[in-house]
Amino acid sequence: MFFLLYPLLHAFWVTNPSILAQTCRDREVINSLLTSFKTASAATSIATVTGVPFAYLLARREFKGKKIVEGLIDLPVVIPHTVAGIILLMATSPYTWLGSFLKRAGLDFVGTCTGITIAMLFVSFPFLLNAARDAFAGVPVRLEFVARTLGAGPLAVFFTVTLPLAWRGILTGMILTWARAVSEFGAVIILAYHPRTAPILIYERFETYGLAYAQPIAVLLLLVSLFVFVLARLVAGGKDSRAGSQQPGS
Amino acid sequence: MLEVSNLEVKLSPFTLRDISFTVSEGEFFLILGPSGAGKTVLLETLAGIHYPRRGKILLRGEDITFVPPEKRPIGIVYQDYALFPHLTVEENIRYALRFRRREANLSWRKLVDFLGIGHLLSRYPDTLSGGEKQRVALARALAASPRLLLLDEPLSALDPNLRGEVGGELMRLNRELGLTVIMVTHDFSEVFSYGKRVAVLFGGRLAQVGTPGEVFRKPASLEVAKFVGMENLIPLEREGSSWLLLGRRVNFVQNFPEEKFFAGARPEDVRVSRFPLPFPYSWEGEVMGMVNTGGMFKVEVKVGVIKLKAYLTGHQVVEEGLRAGEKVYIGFAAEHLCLVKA
Repeated sequence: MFFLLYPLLHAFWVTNPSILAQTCRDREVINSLLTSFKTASAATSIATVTGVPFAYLLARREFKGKKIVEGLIDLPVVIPHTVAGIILLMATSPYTWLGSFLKRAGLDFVGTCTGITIAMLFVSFPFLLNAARDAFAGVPVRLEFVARTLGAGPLAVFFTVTLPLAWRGILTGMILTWARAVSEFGAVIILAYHPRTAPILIYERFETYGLAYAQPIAVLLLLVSLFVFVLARLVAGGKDSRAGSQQPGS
Repeated sequence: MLEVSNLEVKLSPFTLRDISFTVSEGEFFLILGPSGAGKTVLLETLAGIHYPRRGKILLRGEDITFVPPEKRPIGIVYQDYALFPHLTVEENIRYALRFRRREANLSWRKLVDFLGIGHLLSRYPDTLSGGEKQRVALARALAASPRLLLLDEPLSALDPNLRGEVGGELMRLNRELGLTVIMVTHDFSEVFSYGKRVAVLFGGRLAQVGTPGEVFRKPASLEVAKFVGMENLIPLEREGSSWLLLGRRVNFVQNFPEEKFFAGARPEDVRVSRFPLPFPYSWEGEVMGMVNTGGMFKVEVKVGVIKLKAYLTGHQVVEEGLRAGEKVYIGFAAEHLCLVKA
């Protein structure tokens, strides 16, 4: 706990409140934070919409090559994020078929919010997929069977039984995905340096002006992230304590 | 009412094969078998949760083999009840009404009264006792107005003193609502209490279908015999054209000279006495031991190299003055002998 808390508390302790207040009014800082949150939210939304059905498939169906698919899902977690940035840059370069196709479709990755979102999505997708898959796997399949015998079709079963019991786990996955996306630096700096996200602005100020100027932005990012994180946890932990915490077969 | 023919279900690593039986309207039909025999898979196949590779399921003459579960009038109650934990008791019971409102022929409130669970409606499943969960699961299944109710070991998760009560309730459902019931059990003592007909399932195959009496007194195979508690199973020996049971001639297997047979007798049909017994199958032996099984004494008597078992009341044990090491007579009447194919 000391190891976790000391650097955090120390950062708050040594930050000059007047500089922090000044930082809050700095347009560049505000924009970088907005860029971070906007792109992280976009990445989380895309991950949720596409990842939840896929996670359900992984939790409920057996198919050939499932183990390989599951291994591939975790790949972005284990490769260095600069490497992730490099391979994304290579794949989406306008000189490749995919890059030229996307450019013609109006999607430009280098130096755009789209690029940032893609980099964030690539590195944070596994968090959502794994959390949602575990959440679905924790819903006893018998509950779905019984619901079918009571007249509910597969889609109705998903929305009246499976999702209400798995949403807490999925929300946890969304929070982790969002947090991972906000904190992403390596892949983003390579694929899309501009517009600057908060971690990139912190790095740039640190490189150009030194620690004293990077620190207030870091603390600000920390505060806002903590606020969002705690809020989301409260939503996930409150309300109906039964959903998502049932014992298999109960 | 229900006709199942040549059903084959493959569910890795498990296969059900050659399953054929019929259940009449209003019947209380039992499926008996050890754990892992495929009883639950069979019920789930009837409910439409798994589709068979071969065979047919007819319900009131209509082929429902590949009809999805939500379109079949078949309800299921699992051993662990599978109540929806995020819904209250009332929401659980009314779940089916979201989809089958027009079909309900018994209002859910009447069901709640019938099962005596009116006081539980606002509670969540995790606050209920085993017996209460059972009733809620029954009410939920019945609210969908099924023509056929499938029960997967409904009594095994209950306290022994609750079993009789809940079992009685199941019989009442069958009798008073005229509901056809198929109940799965691994406990052969439940067979006599509930079903008029029973199917015995072993290793994914139906070993026997018959009345409880037939299954208990004339088991179709050695494994069925062992499973239904036929504890005396003695290999028959061939002598010329006749068969011998521990030296006593058995006449009526002469027509099957090539087969290998065991003679079986239920321990409750076997008598033990200090005096010669008036039975064609009786021997002199030595009492090896006696175990009180709660109400009855299980007496083991050694005849040659074979140990025969008999159930005696405490009164009989005292009256006969039975003690370990004592020479006694043991035997059974001709009608209590059954022949079991090896």
